[in-house]
Amino acid sequence: MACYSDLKGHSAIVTGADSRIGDAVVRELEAQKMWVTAVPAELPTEEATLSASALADKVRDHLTDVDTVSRTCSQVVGKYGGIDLLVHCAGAQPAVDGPQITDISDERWRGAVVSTMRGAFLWSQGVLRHMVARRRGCVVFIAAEAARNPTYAAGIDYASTRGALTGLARHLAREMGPHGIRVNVVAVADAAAAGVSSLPRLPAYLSWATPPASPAEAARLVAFLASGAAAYITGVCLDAFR
Amino acid sequence: MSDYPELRGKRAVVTGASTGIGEAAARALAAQGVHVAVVAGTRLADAERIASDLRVRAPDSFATRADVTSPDDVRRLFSEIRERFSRIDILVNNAGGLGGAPRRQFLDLPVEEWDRVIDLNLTSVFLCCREVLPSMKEQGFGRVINTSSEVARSPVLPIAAHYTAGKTAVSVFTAYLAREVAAYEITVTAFAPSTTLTAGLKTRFTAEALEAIRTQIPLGRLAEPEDQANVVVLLASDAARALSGTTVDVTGGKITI
Repeated sequence: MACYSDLKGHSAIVTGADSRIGDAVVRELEAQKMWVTAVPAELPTEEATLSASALADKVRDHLTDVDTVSRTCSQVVGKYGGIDLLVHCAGAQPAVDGPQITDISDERWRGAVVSTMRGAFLWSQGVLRHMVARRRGCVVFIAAEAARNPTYAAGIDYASTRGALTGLARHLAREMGPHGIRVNVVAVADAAAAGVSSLPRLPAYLSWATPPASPAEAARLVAFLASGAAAYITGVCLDAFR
Repeated sequence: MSDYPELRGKRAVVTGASTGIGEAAARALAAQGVHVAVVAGTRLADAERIASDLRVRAPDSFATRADVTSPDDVRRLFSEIRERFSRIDILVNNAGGLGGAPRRQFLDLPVEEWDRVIDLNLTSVFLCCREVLPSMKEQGFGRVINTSSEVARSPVLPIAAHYTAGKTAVSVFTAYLAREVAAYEITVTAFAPSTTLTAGLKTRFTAEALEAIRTQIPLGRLAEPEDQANVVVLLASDAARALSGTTVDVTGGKITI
């Protein structure tokens, strides 16, 4: 396994840590000996296997609430001296039932826009306030295969809101570059994010039948982007699907 | 002038049509004989004036207003349009922009402004598409044309982060929906304008600022609204029937590859 020794002892916040991708990212960053604050999208349950170093905030709406984001960031800075990395995994997840646009309710659309996009906005704004002051830091957004090469009917709400994060990353890469901060994206395989071997395909669309890249493979790219090995990489999207 | 005889008699809905690129698109479609529902956000009087002009070539054209960020108002809008048009062949989702919000640094951006700009640029496109697609599928024909932006390809500072995120999402939405509805002879495309010399732009930018932008354009001039409208008409026409899912850059060569 690749080891990025410069990550050791640095602190990371991972949102959506209870998603398949989020969980894999937490495990990868802990394996790299980072201090990981795992922020779940939902209230932790008995079964949830959150990181030992988690500061799981027990507020259901914390992912999209300004005060909670700000408080969590301050807690992490207080505990670890700063925030070196944000990985925003939280947000819409791929649907497994092949929904069409007419199946997407007002509430479901709103949920995707708020959790994926407003969440990315609030959490990146929250950590960047601290990163700008230290003149260093790294942000990685988790986007989706559906937003890069739509093959599976994972839902237009999932595809377009995850796709928005590639634009946000490109913008922030330019705005935050002069502050020494890098912002990148990893687009994960839809089936891997959903935890299934395959999803319904979009109509009339042929594709090679390849097994989906695993969450762990996506998580390794996150570690790479966070490390000094990617010091000259900002504003890009790495596609972790085949 | 271009002539697309197959467009004659078709029916289009153009949102954000009371000014700028939307107005130009409505006028260009009507010039081809397309009847247009000219949808304004707030400037209904301007939309009425435009619709009145359009009726010379496209007599069923009319003006209306709607808040395209509101699910209920979008449902009402399409119900109203269906009372006037027997079918909808073309939907141009042009409403968007910053909605009067100032350009701000990312760290100064209030969450309410983020939400508003995302709704105006992205949710509006979703809501209008969701309303129009069932009838397009039934008739086995449709052209959905979304206004994206050059920022979806390459961010332009100091245009704000929410606008860039929203317009990027519009291009992704376009690619995804194109594949979802491809079997119904419906194409979904987008066009991505660079800075375009609309009346609104001329009031917001100084001559010096516009000149600075102009020097970045390989073709040596800023786009006119008609340059964008020409592409809308192309995307609506049979000449573009093999185009779907793509975002066409209309940037005078500023964005390539």
